[in-house]
Amino acid sequence: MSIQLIILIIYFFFIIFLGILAVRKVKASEDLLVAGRNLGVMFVAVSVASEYMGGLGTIGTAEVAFNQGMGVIWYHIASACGLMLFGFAFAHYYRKYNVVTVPEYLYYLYDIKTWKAASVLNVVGYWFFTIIQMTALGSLVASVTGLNLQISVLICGLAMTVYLLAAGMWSVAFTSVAFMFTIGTGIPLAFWWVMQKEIPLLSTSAGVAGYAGLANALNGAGLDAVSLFSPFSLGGMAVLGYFLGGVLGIPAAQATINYSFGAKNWKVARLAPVLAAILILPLSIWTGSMGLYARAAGLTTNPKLALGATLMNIHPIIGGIGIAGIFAALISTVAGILFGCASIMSKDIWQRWLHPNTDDRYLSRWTRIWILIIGISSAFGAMTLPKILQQAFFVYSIRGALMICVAFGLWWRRAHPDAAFYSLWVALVGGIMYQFSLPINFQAYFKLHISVWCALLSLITFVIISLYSRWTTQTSNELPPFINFRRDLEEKEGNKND
Amino acid sequence: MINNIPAFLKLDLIIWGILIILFIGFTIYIYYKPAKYINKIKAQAIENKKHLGIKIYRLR
Repeated sequence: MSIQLIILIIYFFFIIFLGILAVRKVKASEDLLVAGRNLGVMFVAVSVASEYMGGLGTIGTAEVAFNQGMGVIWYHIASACGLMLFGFAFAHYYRKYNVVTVPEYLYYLYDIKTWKAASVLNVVGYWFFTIIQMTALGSLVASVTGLNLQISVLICGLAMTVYLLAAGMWSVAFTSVAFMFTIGTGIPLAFWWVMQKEIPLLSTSAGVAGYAGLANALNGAGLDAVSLFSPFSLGGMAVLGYFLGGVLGIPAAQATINYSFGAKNWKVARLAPVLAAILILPLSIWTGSMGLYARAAGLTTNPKLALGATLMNIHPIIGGIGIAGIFAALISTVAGILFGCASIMSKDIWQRWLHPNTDDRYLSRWTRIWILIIGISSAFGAMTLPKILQQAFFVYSIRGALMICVAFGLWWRRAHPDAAFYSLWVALVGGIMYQFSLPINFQAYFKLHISVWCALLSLITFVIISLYSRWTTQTSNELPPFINFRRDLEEKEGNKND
Repeated sequence: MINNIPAFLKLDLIIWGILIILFIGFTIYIYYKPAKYINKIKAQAIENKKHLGIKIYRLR
């Protein structure tokens, strides 16, 4: 058994223990769903940051650096801008209404049909996304342990479901501290080791450590170190794509921002995402540099394996800690997405929509049941559905539309409920047409990332419908399909009189 | 020594510095806001409902 594997197994059990330890914090459904709205700045910031640092931010950035150089730093710069935008401009709006989910806020802004549409689309999208991220997690574990992919996915999926079942958002907050610590020490430690100890060992580096040695090694491998070290090596369109992804993807993404809903007050809710932006920024420097090292050293020809190959080829203890860091980044993302999906499913769809006249104990029970159902089904989905990877477009297509609905509802007087409802569906239908080239190959003409394409479609739809619709007393004048607080009050008054 | 730092690292460190300064400034700004400041935050779509007399129910 390799040292890397032993470190990973110890870490794995430590995380499960930590998640279960949070169970004593849970007394009501609000503790499960939003940690009793009692999280401080550090808990919220590390939860948001570690959720955001997933496979794309670690293995993905090393892959891009391997191919195209250090221009990949813009991925995390753009993500940091998205998080700051959320903290500066959105978080206090959500916090004011004490929301639990993003669709719930759309109910306040618009109407019931928009809330229902957003709930269903979010649940389906995040369910696919959970399966996709579990597949990525299983691939990492399989490559380190030598187990087959299906067994790895099953073990990781079940373990994560167990600790989420224990205490929901409290479990995520507790484990996120450990994840952040592991990411923040394991990956930079491995980076430091590579730059100082491994690069001078390469024959082409002329015995020089650091970036000077890496440049020598890249030149020695027949590559152009100057262009690979340029911060603009990816080109303007890729950087623009990262910025649009960060700005459109974060302010209405349930899985990333729901920790802000659990903040103890609006000040914490606003400050924590800005702190999270600071925490995530250096990641692509570390992973990108290790990706370039893998190329200079000729460790692999497959860019997707650049980071893993580097960590498996350096000192086993340092490499093992680095792999634990990557594992932490992946598992925190899967846990966040699974939890976000289960929150919307249990709170919006199951309780408010389908079983409105139920109490808190019912919600607590069903939140856990839905975490179990989504966790287990996703693990089995990741084991048996390799083509699910192509369904990521579903999330990309709706998240921009959700952001547009929230942003216009906050700042545009003409924003109309019908516009919000139809812009969500137009984004989804447009996304399906774009992805599957129905009826023509749109991608060949427009050359846009699917999230940008869908956001543009929903923006146009939203503006046109809002301009041609008027708010009336009938607009969104439906009663909510559940008890409101006034009825609660009347019942309490009645009991007192009795 | 500063000349040996590659351009991408300089850029990232500058942006990191800017983020840290913004965070400190934002913390000071938030700290001096009154706790009830959040009551003044108004979303246009909710204001439209209130203007028309549509009740905003609190969800359970």
